[in-house]
Amino acid sequence: MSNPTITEEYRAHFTDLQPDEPEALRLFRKAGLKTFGKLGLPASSREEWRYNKLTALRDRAFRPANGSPAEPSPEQIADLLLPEMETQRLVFIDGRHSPTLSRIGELPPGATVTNLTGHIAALGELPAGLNSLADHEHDPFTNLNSMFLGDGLYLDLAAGVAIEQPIHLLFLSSGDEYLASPRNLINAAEGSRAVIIESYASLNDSAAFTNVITEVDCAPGADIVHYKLQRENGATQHIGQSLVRQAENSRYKSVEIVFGGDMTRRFLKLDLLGENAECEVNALYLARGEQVHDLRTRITHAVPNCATRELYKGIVDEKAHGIFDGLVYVARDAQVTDAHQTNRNLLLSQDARVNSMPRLEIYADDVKCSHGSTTGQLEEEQIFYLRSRGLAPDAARALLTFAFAGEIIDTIELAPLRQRLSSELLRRLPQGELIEETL
Amino acid sequence: MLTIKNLHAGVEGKEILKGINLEIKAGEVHAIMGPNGSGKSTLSGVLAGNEAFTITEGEVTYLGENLLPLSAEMRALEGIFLAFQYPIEIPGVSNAHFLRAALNARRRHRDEPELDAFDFQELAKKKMELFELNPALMDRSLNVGFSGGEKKRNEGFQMALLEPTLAVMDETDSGLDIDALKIVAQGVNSLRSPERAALVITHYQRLLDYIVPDFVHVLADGRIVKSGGKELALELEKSGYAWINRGTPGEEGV
Ligand SMILES: Nc1ncnc2c1ncn2[C@@H]1O[C@H](COP(=O)(O)OP(=O)(O)OP(=O)(O)O)[C@@H](O)[C@H]1O
Ligand SMILES: [Mg+2]
Repeated sequence: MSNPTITEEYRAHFTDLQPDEPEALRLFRKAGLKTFGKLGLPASSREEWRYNKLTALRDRAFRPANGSPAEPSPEQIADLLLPEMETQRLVFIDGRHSPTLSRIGELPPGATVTNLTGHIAALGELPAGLNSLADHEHDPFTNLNSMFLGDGLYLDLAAGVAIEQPIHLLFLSSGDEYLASPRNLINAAEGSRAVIIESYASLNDSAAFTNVITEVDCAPGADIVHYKLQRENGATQHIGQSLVRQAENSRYKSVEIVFGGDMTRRFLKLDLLGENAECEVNALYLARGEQVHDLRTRITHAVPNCATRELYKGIVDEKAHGIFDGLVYVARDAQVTDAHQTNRNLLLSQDARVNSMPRLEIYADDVKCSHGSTTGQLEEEQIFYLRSRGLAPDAARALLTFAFAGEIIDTIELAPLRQRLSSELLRRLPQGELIEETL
Repeated sequence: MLTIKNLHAGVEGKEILKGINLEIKAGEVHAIMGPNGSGKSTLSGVLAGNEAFTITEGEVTYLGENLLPLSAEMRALEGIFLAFQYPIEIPGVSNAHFLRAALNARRRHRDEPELDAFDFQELAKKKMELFELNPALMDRSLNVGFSGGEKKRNEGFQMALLEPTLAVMDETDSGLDIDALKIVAQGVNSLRSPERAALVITHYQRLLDYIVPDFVHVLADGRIVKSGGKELALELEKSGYAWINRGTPGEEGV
């Protein structure tokens, strides 16, 4: 059973908030409150929450940030702003939009890139698509997000519109036990194109809770590339969901990189609803200390001739815990489905733990599907080969670990982002500095 | 340069080398031949410091020092190079990155200045030409998707780049076509000098036409059962190994 006092605390936080906002949004929040009050936090006896440490979330209710955020100067967060790239940028602090740190340049006609609550205020009503993909009936975190709905991206692309510069969403948390509830909504009309970098980081070392939902609707022929970077501090609880719907001939690519957080749970739900739609979903998680990184995917092939490429790789060190739970569901009508799911984990210590649950459920008969999962250590004979050429054992291990992760980093199509994450990975790997000069 | 005395080694309870004695002087090339499973690769692995093998008895001195306490990487830095019978594939590690790291580790060890990426590339290009290796292989993952012959030539190329004092070549000729065999032999010969030595493991006399050895040894069941000059290889080619235990070549192998 969930702890009723936590639910009550969230209800009290809710009552404290008296935002001046359109009636439609108020009702939306109330509906969230009602369902969350009914559901409460998930019980750890439930299969899909069995492996998570939710202790930090059960201990206390995090409170939503109120008033205007204490903003860092652009200099203080210079590196987080990806200075090496030209981007359209929206910055949020504890789930609130920061106009001073955001910078949206010239956009092609037919493109709207703005902050969601600003858009709702201007519209006076809820935009189409909000909560259309998230599970607002059964999922407590969806409802917790709805009741405290924070800010995020509102992206609307008219047919054929392409935004060349990546849209960089930077979600910063200022700690102090804050709950941030970012919400992103992406509507990509026929044949439109965009690249999104959704990035999470902390401004200090104090505890926080990020509970985010991103809904992506890809119309026929739309092409969305979506990078998600979780680099919050080790005291942060992070629950993030991406919910994607794809119409025919659309392409959705996701590269998820999880380095940070105390407990991070990322969920990707993807429905292939039109023929010849393709998705490529990759992830790299590097868990150290006592971190828990939990990555889940649910990909549904509802119609024929769609393709899925899924590659999730984890490096788990010290006493950390990596979890992969992936399902590719192929409906009876989804003939000629081409779906491949792979999870690979590298254990760097005796105490590291991995649970890997790759699954295919196939009801069509003419399909090309595969899945696989491996969990193991570095191979001694590879280490010996490198050592026999003069590399120190630590350097050999670092090089092999880096290579293992490199397979995911290499799928990042934006060269500057790829280079940035590659050097960052090196800094985060045990003994990574030993091989820095060789790369 | 290398003295092996009564070396016994094996894996978990199984003795593979049963008392090897061998002396290699600077400037010499020694060939080792012998039936499958006789322990040739085990010997090369033991010399390179492969911890999969346990040494139970005997001594090995290299350049006047006890070799056995040295780690694999220290042996490499001190100039021992093993060309693997089965080169290992390492996905994601580019040939170029790996080799520059290896070369610079060795240069640091010798107090020589490290090579930057540009100088390394120039040097690597020259050495690759020697082995007629496609320069595109430099940017590929180490040995991944290399043909059998490319892997062997890559071992030869690495050797030429690292300029070992003692090169141990474990069947580098196996899997090479005739032209590649000559190329690799030339590469080895170009390294021959009064300060260096090589131990060449092979099944085929043919290689020894190109890399002419000073001594040929026969390894059988973990021991060196016969040693001689380069003509011993010719006898072996003609008569096989069966006569070794009797002491004289007979007709049966012809
Ligand atoms: N790691 C190991 N575990 C168990 N047995 C081993 C191991 N390594 C070698 N052996 C055994 O030791 C013996 C010698 O093997 P080795 O590879 O040294 O032979 P070789 O002379 O190089 O043979 P080849 O000509 O076929 O290459 C063989 O019987 C082999 O099966
Ligand atoms: Mg062998």
